[in-house]
Amino acid sequence: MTSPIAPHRPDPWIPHEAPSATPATNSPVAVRELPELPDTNAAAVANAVQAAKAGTARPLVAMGINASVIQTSIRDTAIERRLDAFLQSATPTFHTPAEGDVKVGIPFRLPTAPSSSSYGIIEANVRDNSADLAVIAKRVGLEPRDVGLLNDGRATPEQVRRVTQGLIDAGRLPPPDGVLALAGRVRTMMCNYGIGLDCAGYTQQAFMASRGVRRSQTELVPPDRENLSGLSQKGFSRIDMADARPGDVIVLKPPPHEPFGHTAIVHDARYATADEWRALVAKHPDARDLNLSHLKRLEVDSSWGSGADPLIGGVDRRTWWHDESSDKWVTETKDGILVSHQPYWNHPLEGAYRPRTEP
Amino acid sequence: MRPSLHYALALCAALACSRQATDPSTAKPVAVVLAPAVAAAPPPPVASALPPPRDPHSILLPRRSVSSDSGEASPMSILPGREPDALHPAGTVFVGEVVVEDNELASTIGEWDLATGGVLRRVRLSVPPTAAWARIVRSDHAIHVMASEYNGGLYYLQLTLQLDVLANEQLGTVSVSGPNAIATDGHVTAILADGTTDPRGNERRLDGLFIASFDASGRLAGERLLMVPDESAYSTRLSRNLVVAAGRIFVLLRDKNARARVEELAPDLKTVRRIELPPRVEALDPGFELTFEGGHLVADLGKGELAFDIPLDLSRASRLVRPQPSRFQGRNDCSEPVRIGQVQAALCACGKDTCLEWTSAP
Repeated sequence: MTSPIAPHRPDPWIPHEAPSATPATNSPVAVRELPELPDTNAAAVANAVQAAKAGTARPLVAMGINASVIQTSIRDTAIERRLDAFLQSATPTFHTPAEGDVKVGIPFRLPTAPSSSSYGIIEANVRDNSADLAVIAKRVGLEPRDVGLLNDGRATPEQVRRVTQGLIDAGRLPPPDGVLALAGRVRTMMCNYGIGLDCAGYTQQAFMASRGVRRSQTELVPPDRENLSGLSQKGFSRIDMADARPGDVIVLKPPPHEPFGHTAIVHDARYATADEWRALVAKHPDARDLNLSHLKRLEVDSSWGSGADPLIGGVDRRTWWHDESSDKWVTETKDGILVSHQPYWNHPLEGAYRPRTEP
Repeated sequence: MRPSLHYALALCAALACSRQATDPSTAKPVAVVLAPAVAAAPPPPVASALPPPRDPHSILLPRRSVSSDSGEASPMSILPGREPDALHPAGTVFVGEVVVEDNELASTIGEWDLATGGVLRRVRLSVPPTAAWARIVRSDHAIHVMASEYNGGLYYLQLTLQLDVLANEQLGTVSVSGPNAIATDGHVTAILADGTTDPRGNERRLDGLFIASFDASGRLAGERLLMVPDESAYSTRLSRNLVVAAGRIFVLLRDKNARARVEELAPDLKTVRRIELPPRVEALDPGFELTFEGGHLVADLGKGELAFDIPLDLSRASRLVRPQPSRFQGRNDCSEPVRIGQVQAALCACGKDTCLEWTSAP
């Protein structure tokens, strides 16, 4: 089995990482900034110096510092920063001529056939706007294949931004109607032109961004074919959900009567603090039964389903809580919380995955 | 070829996203035969009078799989069944439907008796529950099914008109665009799809817009890559662009410069000839269609306003004025009608449910 990640190449999601400025390295993660070290004192440093002189293999331990924790923290911090950057890129700022700037998360996109269903009605609009989209996408430099990816929910956030801004510049943004705010109108316009991301579209790109690699350096197939299934055959290992950490890919099965699964990427995973638990219970009294001493808090990024409503779902970071003692999961939504034995709604957990090259 | 008629395509992904693969080996083939059973060989058609009319001739098909988010029903499709005879004086139709069975989605095909409104038999297709999109076509002696998952597995099944499964093969996986089309003339069946053949990844794997053909018994006869991904953007969204007639395969494609053409493929899938069609349209999804009508091909490049009549030898393309397609009983909310002898039938919206409606053919 080959490695899912080949040597480092410039990370397109980190604006300050110029392609020529980053030398090739075998490390999949470029570390740029160390986290804060634990408090030390002069005595500890002296012990460390003495230990080093005496040939101790782990002088940091002599200082009371667990180096593996630092290394883990460094890795996680780098991945978190890149996931932050990717999330920002997928929440672009658009410039409108009359209403100023607006920051909009890329909406959810699920291509289907035109029909009388809610998604199908939107798709009829997408088909009607297809010729207009082709012209404007070409104007901002997209090739036909990229426009296809755009309509597949698998384009890059930058391509989404350019085309959407192109639509606004071309006067396609509906005027104020007294109902929808500017952001809502931008998202509605994007949906009617078939512009958005599905969960696999977001997650696979976020995964690559989090490691600063390109698709060719992974075993992932082209974006409109990659559904993040069968990751064990693509250089990933299935890991225990309790061990999930930043950058791990979470794959959920479809609910019993639905044909779609879900994917997301972990931004943060740790045990909840007492303050966080109290804040959660303050907002949602139903959460008081959760066992704080076993309560895991996960931040996960994805493009979330919308029920064909342009105003909900799409690119977002959401928080899942997992009581490992009762195996209860809590999902926070805008309307409250959902408590179940599944991580997200009724989606059973298929697994959490990490590249085999990352111990 | 008789095109499949899709109706009420409903997707249910408010709380979900892309599908995940299900091991096909876990799919359980289940055949359900419901009384009254009918003879395998239908009696010869009898030109008897239609049964006393019910008003309307409407059979309620209750929703049996509903999105938890939108409350919308799952896809249904309709095909003509047996022509009217003594046992079934109004004939029968086949209805493709996704239902919930054993607490999971199941793609099914049922044969409905229009006169009695009863289902004669039904089969659950042996595909994964997530393969919830099925297009069905029929020939004189068989039903052909192309079932697919979202951005996942692609399957071909052949059934007898008694709904016995003769062939079942996973062809590969489809891209987000999904499969394009299935067509048959009874001797040759073809499937056109964007994706990857052979998910096991051996040497015969093709990646791009590919076509697969099957013989009359449902065996895979050949596969061919028609376009690599960088060239297929203008073709992957066409959904009624395949015809099989007289053992020959015809496909409407658009090249990387958006120019349309009709191409004839031999049964071994080699290109025999082609004809270019104007005009060049930039849109990725212009709704171009290729159909077989009255012994000729019809390439519709403008939603009825720009159509070409093309003989099967592809010698010329003549502008064609097409009448507006007739609506079932003049209603907008029905599928295209299918004709069964003197009867035509369609799937129509009945509030939140679907009705199988039929009437005398005009």
